Amino acid sequence: MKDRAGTDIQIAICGSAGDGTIAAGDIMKRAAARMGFKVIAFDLYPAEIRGFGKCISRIRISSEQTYSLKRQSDVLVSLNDAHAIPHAAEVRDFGAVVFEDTPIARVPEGGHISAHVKPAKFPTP
Amino acid sequence: MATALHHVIIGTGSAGFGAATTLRAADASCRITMITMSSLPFYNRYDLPDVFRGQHDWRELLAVAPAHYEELGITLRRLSRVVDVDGVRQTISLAHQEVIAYDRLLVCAGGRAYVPENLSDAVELMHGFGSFEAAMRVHADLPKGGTAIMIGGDMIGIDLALTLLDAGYRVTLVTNQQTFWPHNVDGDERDRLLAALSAKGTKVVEDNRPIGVTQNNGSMPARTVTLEDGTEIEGNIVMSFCGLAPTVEFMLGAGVDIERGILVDPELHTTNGSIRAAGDICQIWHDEEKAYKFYHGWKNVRVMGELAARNMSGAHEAFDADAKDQLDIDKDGNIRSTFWAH
Amino acid sequence: MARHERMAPKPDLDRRTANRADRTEAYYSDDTRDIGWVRENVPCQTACPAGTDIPAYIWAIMQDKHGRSYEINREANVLPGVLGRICSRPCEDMCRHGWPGNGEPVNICHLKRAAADLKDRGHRLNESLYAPSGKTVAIVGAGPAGIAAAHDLSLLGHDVKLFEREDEPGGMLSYGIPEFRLPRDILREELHNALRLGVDLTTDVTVGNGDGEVSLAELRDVFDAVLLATGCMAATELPLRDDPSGAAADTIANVEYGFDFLLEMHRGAQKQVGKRVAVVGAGFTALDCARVARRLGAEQITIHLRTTEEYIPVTKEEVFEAKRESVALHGLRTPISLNADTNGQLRSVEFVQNRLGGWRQNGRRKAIAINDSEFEVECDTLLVAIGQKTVHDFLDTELKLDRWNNAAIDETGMTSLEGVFAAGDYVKGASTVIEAVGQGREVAMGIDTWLMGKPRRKQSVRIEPVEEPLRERAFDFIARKHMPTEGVEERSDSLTREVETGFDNDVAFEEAKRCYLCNLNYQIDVDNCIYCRACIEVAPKNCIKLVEGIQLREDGTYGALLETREWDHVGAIWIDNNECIRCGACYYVCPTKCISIKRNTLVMRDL
Repeated sequence: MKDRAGTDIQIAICGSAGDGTIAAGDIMKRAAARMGFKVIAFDLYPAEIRGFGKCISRIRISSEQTYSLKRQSDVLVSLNDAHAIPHAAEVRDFGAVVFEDTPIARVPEGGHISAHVKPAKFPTP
Repeated sequence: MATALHHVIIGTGSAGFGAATTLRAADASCRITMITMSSLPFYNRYDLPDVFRGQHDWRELLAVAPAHYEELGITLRRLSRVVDVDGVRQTISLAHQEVIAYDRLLVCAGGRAYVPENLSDAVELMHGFGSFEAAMRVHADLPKGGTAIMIGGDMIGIDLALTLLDAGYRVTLVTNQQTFWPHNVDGDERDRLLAALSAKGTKVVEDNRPIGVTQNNGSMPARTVTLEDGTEIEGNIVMSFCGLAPTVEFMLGAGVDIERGILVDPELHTTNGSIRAAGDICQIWHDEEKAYKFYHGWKNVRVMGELAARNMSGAHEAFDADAKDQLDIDKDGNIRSTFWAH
Repeated sequence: MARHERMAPKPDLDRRTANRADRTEAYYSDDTRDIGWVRENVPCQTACPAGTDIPAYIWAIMQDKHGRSYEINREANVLPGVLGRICSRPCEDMCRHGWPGNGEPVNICHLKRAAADLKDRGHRLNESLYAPSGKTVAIVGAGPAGIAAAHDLSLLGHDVKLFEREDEPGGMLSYGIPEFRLPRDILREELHNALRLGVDLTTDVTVGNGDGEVSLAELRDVFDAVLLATGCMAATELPLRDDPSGAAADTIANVEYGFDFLLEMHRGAQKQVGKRVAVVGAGFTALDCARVARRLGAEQITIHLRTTEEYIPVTKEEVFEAKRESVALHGLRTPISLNADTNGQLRSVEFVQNRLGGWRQNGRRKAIAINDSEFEVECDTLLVAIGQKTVHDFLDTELKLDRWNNAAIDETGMTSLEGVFAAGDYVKGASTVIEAVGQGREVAMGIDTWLMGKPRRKQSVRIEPVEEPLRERAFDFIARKHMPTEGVEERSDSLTREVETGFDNDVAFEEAKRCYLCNLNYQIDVDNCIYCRACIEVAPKNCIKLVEGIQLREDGTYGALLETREWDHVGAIWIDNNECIRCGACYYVCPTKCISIKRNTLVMRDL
C-alpha cells in the first residue's frame, strides 16, 4: 500500500431522491474499504423515497484514520444540477466538479452547474 | 432600478482577456461573462512550446491566477461550446442546452489550424498544437530526438520548430503558400529566411505538394507523408501549420456578415448593432485598400480586444490598421516576428 | 386493465380515437388533418418537390430490400439512380436527425443511390398501367420535367410523343452535368426505363418556326394536349459596367459562357482551357465548369462569387470536393470589365469589391458594390456561369409570361393557351432537377384531369398499426456516413471516371439505421395512462411533457401544448411529436402498454 500513503480525498455525490445517489455512495464506501482505505461517510436524504428532495452522499477516503468529513470536498458529482448547484462552492480550489454535458432540456442562464464552477476548479463532463 | 449591462465575450484568448479587463476597468458595475470551449482559463498560446522545455503543469501555464477572475467579478464559463447566436433576441445557445442573454457581445473565438482540403482524409493522423491538451499530446507522441514533419510552416509552426530544434528534436518543413503566414514573403527574402531555418537544422522541402499522410504500424517512425512527385518523407508526427481558418460556424445564424471571417468596420462593429468581433476571427475594413483584411499576431489581437472593449463602453476608436508586420533574423540566427512580439 | 381485457369498441368509434388496439388493419383516411400530420411530421417528404416517401424507402433498405426501395422512389421520381447522385437534397436540410441537438441529417440522397446501385441485376420494374385513354399528348423537351411527365402520362394510358432538339434525351442531365458526377450508362438506363411504357421519343427534331422545324400550331392541331418543358437552355449574359448587355463576352477570345462550354463538350466538341482559369458564378454549373477545367489541364482555377460561400445554392459537399481538387473560391466581388491584349485574347478581368446587402428569397444575399474598390485578376480563360434563362423563340403565338419572363401557369399547369401546359425550368426559371421532376409529375396529373374531364387519383393517408418500435436507441448515435470518393490524384485527368464511389451494402445499412422513421406516430392513450412518468424518465429528449391541455386549431389539428409544472394541473402526459425521435424507449417501459405506434403513409388512390 505504499503508493497510497497520503491519500485523503472526499467525494460528494449529489442528486435527487431516487437517482441512486445514496446507492452510489454506498458502493464507493465498500469498494474503498475493500481496497484497504479508511472510510468515513455521511448521507443526507429526504423523507420521500423518490421524486422530490435532495440527496447528498459524502465519502472521505484516506490512508490514515480520520474522524470527520472535511469542510471542502475534492470532487463533486452532480446527478441533478438543480440540487447540486448550491454545493458547487464546497469544492476546494483545483478540485473537480463532474456533470452531465448533454442534458435533454434547455435551461436558462445559470441553470447548468458548469455556470457555478469557479475558475479555480476543474469542470469535468 | 436599472439592471447592470451584461457584456458577454466568446473566446478567452488574448483578445478576450484583454477585452474583459478593459471592460471592468471602464465600468465597475457591469456584468462580464467570458465563454470558452476549453477547460482551462486564459493562457498565452505562444507559451505552449514550453512543454518541450519541461513545462507540464497547467497551473503554471495560466496567465493569471484563477482567483483574479473572481476579484475582477468576471464570470468564466469553461467547457461551454457556443452552438448558436441569435442576433435579434440577443441570446447565445450553448451545447449543453443553456441559453444566455447578452446586452453586448464580443466575439473573439479565433481560428483553428487550416488543413488543406486535399489532406482532409488524413486529419486524424495529424497532430494539432492549438491548445494545452494538444501540445501535451505532441510531447507524448514525439520520442526523444524524433522528427516532426510540418506542412506549411506559418509563424506558429516556425516558433515551435525553433523550440523543437533547440530541444534536440528534428524538424522537416514542407513549404507552401502559407509558409511564414501571416507575413507575405517571396523572392530573396523568402530564400534568406528558409536559409536561416536550414542553418538551425531544419530540413526544408520546397515546391513539392503533400498529397497524402499514412500511418506506419509497428515499425518506427509512425508517419509517412507522400509528396506530389512521389517522394516519401518519414517522421514521428505530422502537423499542419497553414495559417488559421476563423471559427465562425456558430455565428452563421446570428445575422452578421461573414466572408471567411466576421466582417467588421474599423471600430470593430459587425453588421449587428450589439455585436463586435476582434482578433483572428474578424476581417476589418481598410478604407484605403477598399478591402476587408485579417490582422494576426499576439500584439494586434490584444490591441483589438482592448479597443473593442473601449468601444463597447462608449468610445469610438478606430483600429490602427497601419502597423507594419516585420520579419527578420536576429544575431542568433532565430527568426523574429512582430507576430510574436511579447 | 390489461390490453386484452379491454371492452369491445363502441359502435360510434371515430377516427380520432383509433389509437386503441381495436384497429388491427390498415385503413385509409382522406381527412385533411391526417394528411396535415404527415406534412408536419415527415419534414423530408414535405421538403421533396416530388414528394418522395423517404422513410418508406429507407426502411426498405434496412430490410435489405433494395429493389423495393428503388421502386418506392420511382413512384415519386422516375430517375432515382440519377437523383441519388446529383440531387440538391432539400430533404436533408429539413431532416429531423439534423435538428439542433440531434446531430447530423441522414444521408438521404446517397441512400437513394445505394438502393439503385445495390438492387438485383434482374430487378423488376413496377408499373401499374391504366387502360388506354385514346388521348394524345405532345411533350416538347426531354429533360427531367419532360421525362417525368412523359412517364406518368404514359402510365395513365395516354399516347405520348416526346420531341427533343438534341441527339440524346436528358436535357441538362446529358448536356450540363459532367460524367464524373453522373455516369452516362446509369442515366441512359433510367431514361430508357422511364420511356419504355411506350413513349415515342424523337430526337434531333426542333420545335419552332424555322425550316424543317415542327411548329407549335401543328402540335396543338394534331395532339389533344401539349406540354412545353424546354427548360432554360440559354446562358444569362454577363452585364459589365460599360456594356450592360454583355456583348463583350462574345468578342474576346477565351471568354465563354459556362453553359455553352459544357453543352458543346457533351455534344462531342474538344474543349480547351488555358492554364489560369477564372469562373464567375455560384451555381452547380459554375462548379462543374471549374472541375472540368481541372481535368482539361488548367493549373490555377478560381471561382469568383458576388456574395460568399455561405450564400450560394450548391451543396457543401460539392464545394468541398472542388476545393480538394484545388479550386479556390473567392467571395465578395462582381466583374465589371474584361481586358483583352492586342490579339483579342483575354488578359485579365476587372472586379469591384462588394459588401453584403439585404436578404433575397431562398436565403440568398444581395451584393452591394463598394465605390473605388476595383482590382484586376489575370487569367487565360474566363467561364461565365451566372445563370440560365428561358427562350421563347420557338413559340409561334403569344404566351403569357410571368414577371421573371418564364411561362405563367395556373394551378393545373395550363398556360394562357388552351390545352398547352408547361413544367420544369421553363416555368420556374433555372432551378434544380428534383424541382423539375416534381413539377413534371404534378402537371402530368393536371393534364390527365383536363383530358379525362375529372381527377382520377387523390391523395390519402394509409394508417397502419405497427407492432413495436422498428429501431433501437443505439442507432441514434451512429455517425453520419460520408460518401467515399476517388482519391484526388486519381481524379486528375479523367472526365468520365465517377468521383463518388457509392456505399456498399454494410455502409448503406448503417446509414439507413440512422433514419428515425418519422412516419411513425407514437401516441399515448390518455384513458389508459396511469401517470407513472416512467416514459418521461427514459425519454432521451424533452419529448414527453406534462400538459394541462392541448390547443386545437381551427381545422381541428392539434396545436401548441400547454405545459405545466404543477402536478395537480396535469391533464395528460403527452408525446410532443415535434421533439419525438421515435426511439421507442417509452413504448418498452410503459407498464400499461398504452402507447401505440402507427405508420402514416401518403398514397395516391384511384377515385
